[in-house]
Parts: sequence; structure tokens; C-alpha cells
Amino acid sequence: MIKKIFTAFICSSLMTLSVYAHDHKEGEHKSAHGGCLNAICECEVGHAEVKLEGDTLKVWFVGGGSDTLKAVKIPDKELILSVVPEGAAAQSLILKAVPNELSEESVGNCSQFAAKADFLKGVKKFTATGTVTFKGKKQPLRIEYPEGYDPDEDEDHDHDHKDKKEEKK
Amino acid sequence: MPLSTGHSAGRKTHELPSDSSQESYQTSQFNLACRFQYSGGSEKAFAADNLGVDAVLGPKGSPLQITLNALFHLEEMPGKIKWTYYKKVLKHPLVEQGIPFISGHSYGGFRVNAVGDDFFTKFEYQPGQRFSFEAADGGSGHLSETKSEAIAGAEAAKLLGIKLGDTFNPTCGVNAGDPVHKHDFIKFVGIMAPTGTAHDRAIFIPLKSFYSLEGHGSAVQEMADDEDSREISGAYLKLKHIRRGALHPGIQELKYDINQSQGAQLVIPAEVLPRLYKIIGWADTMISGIALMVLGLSCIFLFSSLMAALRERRRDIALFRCLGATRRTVFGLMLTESALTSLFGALAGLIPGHVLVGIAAHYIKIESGLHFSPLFISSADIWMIPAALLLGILIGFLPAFQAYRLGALTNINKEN
Repeated sequence: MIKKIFTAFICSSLMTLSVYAHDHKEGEHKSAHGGCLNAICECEVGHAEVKLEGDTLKVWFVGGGSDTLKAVKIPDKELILSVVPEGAAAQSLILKAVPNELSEESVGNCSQFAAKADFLKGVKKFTATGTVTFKGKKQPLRIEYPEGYDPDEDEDHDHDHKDKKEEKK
Repeated sequence: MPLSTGHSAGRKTHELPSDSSQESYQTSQFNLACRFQYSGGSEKAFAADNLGVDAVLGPKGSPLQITLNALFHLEEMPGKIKWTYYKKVLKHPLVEQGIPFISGHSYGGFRVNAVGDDFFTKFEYQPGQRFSFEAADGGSGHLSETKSEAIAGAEAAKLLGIKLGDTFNPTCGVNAGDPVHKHDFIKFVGIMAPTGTAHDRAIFIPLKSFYSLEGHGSAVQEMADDEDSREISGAYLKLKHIRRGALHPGIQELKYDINQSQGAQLVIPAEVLPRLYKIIGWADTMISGIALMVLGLSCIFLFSSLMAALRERRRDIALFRCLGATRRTVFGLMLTESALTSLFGALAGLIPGHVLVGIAAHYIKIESGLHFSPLFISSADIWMIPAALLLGILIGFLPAFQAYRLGALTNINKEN
């Protein structure tokens, strides 16, 4: 009888584990505002979530990896981007910091930037480049709208992360 | 039972398939009944209570802990939030209503929460249903008019024997041995009508009472008048809805904005509770697995018992046939026997399953405050009866067919 109970317990445990293994998915990248995520630097140090609404371009800076629901505050007061709409010439766009009261932000300590421009009206696809002070370092910023940008997919991302540890040493 | 001819006096009588098969069948149904009660009952206990609150504004910490504290009067709040921040949230266009509260006090094992005045007049514990003090509904008394007046939930009042006019000293904390506010006497002026929610198991005092309790020190007492320094545990929020009662899609952005703040977060119970079910689901799956294993074994026992009974009764069946019973009659008798064994096993398992839930409910209520009813009949309970009958028929089909094929003349002289 004890043997039967033990067997039943083992079987049900295995069933449970298999159900868990089936359900478990790798961390997905979610965007809080429904925009597209553009990775900053290799290894996803952070993301710029980008959303185009009519003639307004909004950018939120968020964490790396699956930490995309956590804002990263930027010391820059404005961002200067070179925007290239599909089939059109490059245009310069200055995005101003838009502090969110509920997020307790202020200019110079803000994660949200926005700009309005007539040339953005009707644009479905564009790329943009610029720089941003992200987590204390000046980093290149590349936006590919609406697909999003991930440099780790672009290049052969086979460098060893041990290099960084060695650098620290 | 059907195949007991009675001719074999002096010899062993042939009875129903072995008791062990029925017992094991009963055990499996008992397991299943407990599992359905546990699963259905726990979901019911939680789901009924989160209605009426779209979101909870709480401090940083575990969202589940905040939900359990705010809505079910369990656990403890992980911190406090600033009153000034709460006021900012109230100004957001998606926020329709906010009711602040402070938890962390108790009396007689029940939570004492300080709540904003709107809690009794505007808070809907379920859509369209507000707290009542009407005698017709089972309530009594009235709303607190001064800061030293309290209102008791129906169940707290019943279990503590609270009457209108009684006074109490709240305990500063929710654990045994926490200090009591010995010099603060608060009078019960109202007992709420039963709501069937966790709020029945709590006592409520006006928000200002909390700040003015003697033992809280001058810094907290100043909060009664100075809103800039005031802190609360959290706030129940009612948010804007769109068509068909769905929450406005902008809620996710509101949640994102609040969650970036230093000391607050927005918790949406409808998102948190499914995660809780997932945690409970581990135990749920385990119990289901064990119950199904036992059910499988029981089916094998029942089948082998029927086959053994058939072997033993070959002579009886042959005699039956000689007395005029048709093959169909014998087939029907065997099938009926199997179906009835299965049905009685299911019933004999279901009843003790519910009785056990009834006994355990008392202890669960003391430990967690959750209400489980042994009278709660889940749809699975209802389906279990016809399912057991059908399973009995399926199991009995082969033995019945063997009985159907049994030759009367060849078996009439066979000894068992």
C-alpha cells in the first residue's frame, strides 16, 4: 500500500513538473506604452521605447533585458536626433524632457522625451540616430521604427562577457 | 444484489464486488471532492472580494501582500505612502474615486483599519452594493460621527459579541503581544450588515482617529492636521471604465508612471490574484494528480473484482439462465451492478469530502480569514455523479459481455 502511495506521489510530482516546464516561458520584453523597443548598446544595457502619435514622437528610456517596465532617468535636458523617414531626407529633431509628476521626475532627471514636427505626420517607418547620457555614460542611440532595434541581432553577438569582468579587475 | 440467487444456502454467498474496490473508489471520489472544494472554494473566496476595487495604491513591496492586506485584511502593509502623493494620484484623469486607509491595528484577532469617510457611503464592495446599517439588512447603528467611534463588520461583531455602545482599546499591531492603546477608548456606534466579503471580519475607525491615538507620539498626531506630513497605508481606487465594464486601456500607463515613483505603486488585484491562483495551482495539480491516480487504481480494482465475481458466479448465472433469464437480462444485471458500485462509491466519497471541508473551514478561517463553505457545490461536484455512473458502465461492460456469452449448460454443473 505504501509502495502504491509512493508511486502515485512520484507520478503526480512528475506530472506537475512537466506542466510547469510546459508553461514556463523565457522573459519577454514588454513595452509599457505600446511602443517599439530599441536596445541601447550591446547586451541590452537599456532600451528606448518609441511611439509615434500623429506629429508627436515620444521616447521613454527604460531598463535592459526584461526590465522594460522600469524607467531609467536621464540627466539630459534634450535629445537631438537625426530622423530619416522612409524615402525622405534626414531631418534634425530636438526632443525635450517631459517630466512626469506621478513618476516624481524633473528636467535633468527625466525618462520621457517628446517632440512635435510636421514632417512626422503620416510617417510609417523611420530610423533615427543620436546620443544619450544613459546610466552615466554617453551612449549612441539608434531607433528603428516600428520594428525596434537590437544590435545583438545585427552583429555576431558572440563576445565573452568575461571580458567585462576582467576589465573591472 | 442482482445476482444473489439464494439457492446456495450453506455455501458462501456471492455479494457485491469486493469491498476494497468500493473503498478505493470512494477514496478517489473523496480526494476529488476535496480538491474541487479547495480549488473552487478558494477561488470563490478571493474572487468575490476583489470586486468593487479597480486598483490599490500602496507602498513599494510585494503586490500580493498589498492585495491581501487591502482587500482581505491579511498580512501586513510593507510600508506607508505620502498623503501628498495620494492627492496627486487623485488628480489623474483616469482616477474617479479614492478612499484612503491605514492598516496595522487589531482588536480581538480582527483587523482595525482607519478609513476615509467615503468608505461607508461611496465604496462599492461589489458593483452597485454599498455598506448598509439598516436593520432589515442585518445591520444596526450609524456612521461614525466623532473620531472616537468605530464600526464593526458583521462577523467581527458576532464573534466578539460586540453590541452598540461597547468600547474597546485597539492593539497597535496585528500580532500577539503587541502593545495596546490602553488610554484610547473607542465606542462601537455601528454594525454593518453582512456583505459576504472580508470586510465583515474587520473593524473600522475614522482616519483621523488613527493619528490621534495616544500611543502614537507627537509626530503621528501632527498628521491629523498637517496634510503635508500625513502618511497612509494605501488607498482603494476606482478607475475609469470603458464599454462593458472593462478598465480603460490607459491604466497600464498610469501604473507605469506610479510605479516609477520612489515610494508608491499601483496594484491591480485582477492582475495579482491570477498569480496567486498559479501559486495555489501547484498544490491543486498535486492533489488532482493523486486523486486521478487513486481513481485509476480504483477502476482497475473494480474491474478485477467484477471479473472475479463473474468467475465465482458462473453456476449461479447458468442457473439463472435455466430459470428463464435471457442473455440480455444477465448482461444488464452485471452492468447495473458495476454502475451502482461506482455510483455508491462516488456518493460515499463526496459526502465525507464535504464534511472534511466543513471541519477544516473553521481552522482555515482562524488562520487565514478565508471562508470555505462545505455547502458550496462546484460544477465538478455535479458532473462527478453522472461521470461515476458512466465510468461504472464502461468498467462493467467487459465482465457483462463475458456473462452474456456464458453457456448455461456447460456451467450449470461447475463448482465455484
